[in-house]
Amino acid sequence: MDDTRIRQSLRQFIRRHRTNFQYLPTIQSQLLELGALVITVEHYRLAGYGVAPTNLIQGRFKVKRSSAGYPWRFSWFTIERGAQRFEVHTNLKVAGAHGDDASYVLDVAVCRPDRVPTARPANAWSRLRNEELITWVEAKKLVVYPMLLAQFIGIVHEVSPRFLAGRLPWGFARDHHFAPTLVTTGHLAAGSRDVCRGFVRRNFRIVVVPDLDVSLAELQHGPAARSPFVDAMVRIAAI
Amino acid sequence: MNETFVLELLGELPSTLREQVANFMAFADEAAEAIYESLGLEPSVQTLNDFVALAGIWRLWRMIDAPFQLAQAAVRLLNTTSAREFELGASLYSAQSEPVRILSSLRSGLEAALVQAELSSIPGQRSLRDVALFAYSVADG
Repeated sequence: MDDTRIRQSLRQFIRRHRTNFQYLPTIQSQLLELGALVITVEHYRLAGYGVAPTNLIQGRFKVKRSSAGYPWRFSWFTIERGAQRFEVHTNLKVAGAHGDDASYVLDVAVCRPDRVPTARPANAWSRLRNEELITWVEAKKLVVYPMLLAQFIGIVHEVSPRFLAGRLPWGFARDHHFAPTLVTTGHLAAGSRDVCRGFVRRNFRIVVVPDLDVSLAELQHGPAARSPFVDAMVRIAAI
Repeated sequence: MNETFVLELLGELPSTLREQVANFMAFADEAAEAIYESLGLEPSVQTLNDFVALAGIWRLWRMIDAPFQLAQAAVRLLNTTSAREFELGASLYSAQSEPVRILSSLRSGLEAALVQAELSSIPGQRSLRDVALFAYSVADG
């Protein structure tokens, strides 16, 4: 390797693109949120669902980016296959599964249709009932360390505990849903591989997708036959 | 090459980006022994230094390519629907939007710089193991 050549070419590149680099951290964060939504919708498209953006605002798909704001002021995807229809929302407030007052804002939530109001309702609407939630995705711009996995398991325990013990909901596999998923743009740290293997041994039904960009890039190569969620777990198993 | 070489090179990047690269090089440094052991290779000190530095350059590539791939996937999804663009706060994402143009320009710029630096195989590396093999083939192979 020629150190001088490497130094010259990379330095020249960085100087030439100095302004563009200033925007990159913001773009990284925005695209993680969007990527989680895209990977979810792609999963259902690959499973044969029709995909339709709903509640477009002036032709734009307005992504809900935080817990603030009413869901009917933003867009979502409706997915449909035969008689099965579901909705994919971003940053949706959902009741916990244990009957307490806790609410959780999920980055991407798949739920039964027509449960989230499409316009301001007559009676106040605060959150989705837990029973109407099918599955969900949490997105993080972090390396997958064991602590992050533990935090994710904590959310699964509060929101969808049946994925940690017991039976899957009726029709879950038939409808090609995926289990609660953690997606990250970071890599899987060495210690986390064993933790993920442990989850499988303990029959936890969850998915971990490290390197989200790799999963999405692979969707464009060849006949994208497999869901990125399935692929991710196959990759982890092969490590 | 070594870690310091790359950090000096990236001195003009915003600090958050520089940190991402530095953290990744530290991770690569820690993982190096286990990776080479799993590959059945005994690297020289020079190879280990090159590996950590190349891991930093690979991370720089991924830092740009990752959001680029995410943006492309979002644009492909748009093309199959009636939506014109995604709105995320004040930013719009479509094939012609400013963030996508910035990503595309950064990506093609870095690709060209890597060719010039005779590191054109960096974008094709799929994992840290690939980077380790590449470093070994250059120094010890």
